[in-house]
Amino acid sequence: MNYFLQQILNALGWGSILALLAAGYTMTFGIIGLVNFAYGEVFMVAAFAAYFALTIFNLPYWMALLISLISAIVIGLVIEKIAFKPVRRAGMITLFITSLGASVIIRNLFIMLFDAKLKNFKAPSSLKGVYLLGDLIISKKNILIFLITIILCTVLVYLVKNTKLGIAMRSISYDSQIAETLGINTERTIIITFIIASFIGGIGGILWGILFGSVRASMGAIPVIDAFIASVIGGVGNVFGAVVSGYILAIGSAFFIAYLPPELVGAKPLFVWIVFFIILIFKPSGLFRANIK
Amino acid sequence: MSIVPLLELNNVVAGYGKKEIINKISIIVNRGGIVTLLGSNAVGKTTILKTILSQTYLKSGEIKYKGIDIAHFATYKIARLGISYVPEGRGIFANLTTKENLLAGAYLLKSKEELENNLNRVYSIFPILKERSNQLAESLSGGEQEMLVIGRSLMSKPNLLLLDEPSLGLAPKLVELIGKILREINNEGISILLVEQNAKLALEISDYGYLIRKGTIVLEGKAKDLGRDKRIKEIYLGII
Repeated sequence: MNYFLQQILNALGWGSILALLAAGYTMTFGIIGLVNFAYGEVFMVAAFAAYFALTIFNLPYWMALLISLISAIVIGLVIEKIAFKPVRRAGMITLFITSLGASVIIRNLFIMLFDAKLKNFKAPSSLKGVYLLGDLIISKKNILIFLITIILCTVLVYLVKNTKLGIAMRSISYDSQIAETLGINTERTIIITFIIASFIGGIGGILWGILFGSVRASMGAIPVIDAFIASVIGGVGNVFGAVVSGYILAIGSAFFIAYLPPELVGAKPLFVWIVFFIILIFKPSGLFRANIK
Repeated sequence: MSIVPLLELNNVVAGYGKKEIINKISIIVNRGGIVTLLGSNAVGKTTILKTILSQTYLKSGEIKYKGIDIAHFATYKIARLGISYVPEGRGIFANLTTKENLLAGAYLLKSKEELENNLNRVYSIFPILKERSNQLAESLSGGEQEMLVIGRSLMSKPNLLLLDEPSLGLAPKLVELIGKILREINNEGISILLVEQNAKLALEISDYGYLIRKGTIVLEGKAKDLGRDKRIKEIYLGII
């Protein structure tokens, strides 16, 4: 039993980051049907910005966070403006392809400029160490990441569910032309959605740096696919569903490694796909209610 | 000032892309009036409403609201001027609850008090919506969905209501009810531009009517005169 619980505690950090990314991902997925592979680059750019601020310029932590989040929002909006806005009416497939293009360009630009190697990310020294709960071990980092995630996701769920902005977002996701006839400025609402999603992605990037102690230019590639899968499983546009699915995938992966024979550990990345296919076979619309047409 | 009509279309030519759907349409809606656009399927009635809302490609002509040219305003700005739209075919937000749909309709309201007042007013017009307030809109019946879109359009306290085929697919009893409610709404001072295939309902409640055929106006006049006009019947029966 302890072994079982320990797996959950170990996966809490990564699970929280995945939950955050899935929550951010599902927002733009929901509002304009965007399958956004460039979201992984928002996450990466934020982590790099924090890395530069901390390691190269030796700035204090709060300033690094600020710079990192601003960078995430700026890159998110630039991608929206260049890759999505001109083709927004062209359909999901076109948006998917331009997002892939934006992702490849940004990632490779970073590899060219700053190479592909792992870079040391300074975590605050106060986060080193672990707490013991009987036989169980939980790291301070995981606790912090978990708390931040729960707070942010609660705010996000509330925002989408109960505020005027949230109702506008969900109306647009169903029918933007009718939403517009009610006086909703769809353009502005979409921009705000991108800002929120980029902010969340930025937080995810910073937390990743803190959790693993390193960042690199290709760090967004796998998480963005996991976030995509979690947002589909969670019901597109459903923030709560995305968060729960993010945790399911991360904790499930941890069990996959913990309980299967060591020869199969290399197949860990397969796990999310297996879950994805099984869920899609039985519940094609996801585990939770989708928020789009 | 009093002679300026609430809404005025002058020789409007519009469509989607290069394809022209409506040609030289001129319509006047006076303050407090109910004007109806009659015509069978696919003659451009909906396109006229969408052109007023700036959701088509306007090739030429003028669209004036209270004397102001609104032809190239963004749709959401037109809504801010007090023009509200009831889309055809139950244009509800199926992913929202009944109440959330109404709240979306109240998007433009600034004060909470006004919102509560308007919500209560809509609930008093359509009591069934109050009962269904926490249900997803997609679970409502066809008639309830039509009430919901009308209720949603009233949430912003509009001056002008553009209604697209409110009677479509409804049982005769409900059509009667909708007609009665439109008259009540009109008595409260909201002007109405109504698109209908159901000529009987439309001519009963309106003051003035236009008959549309192939994107142009072929006949216009006071509703009670149109009701007697042979040509209306002929066109509806497909003789012309």
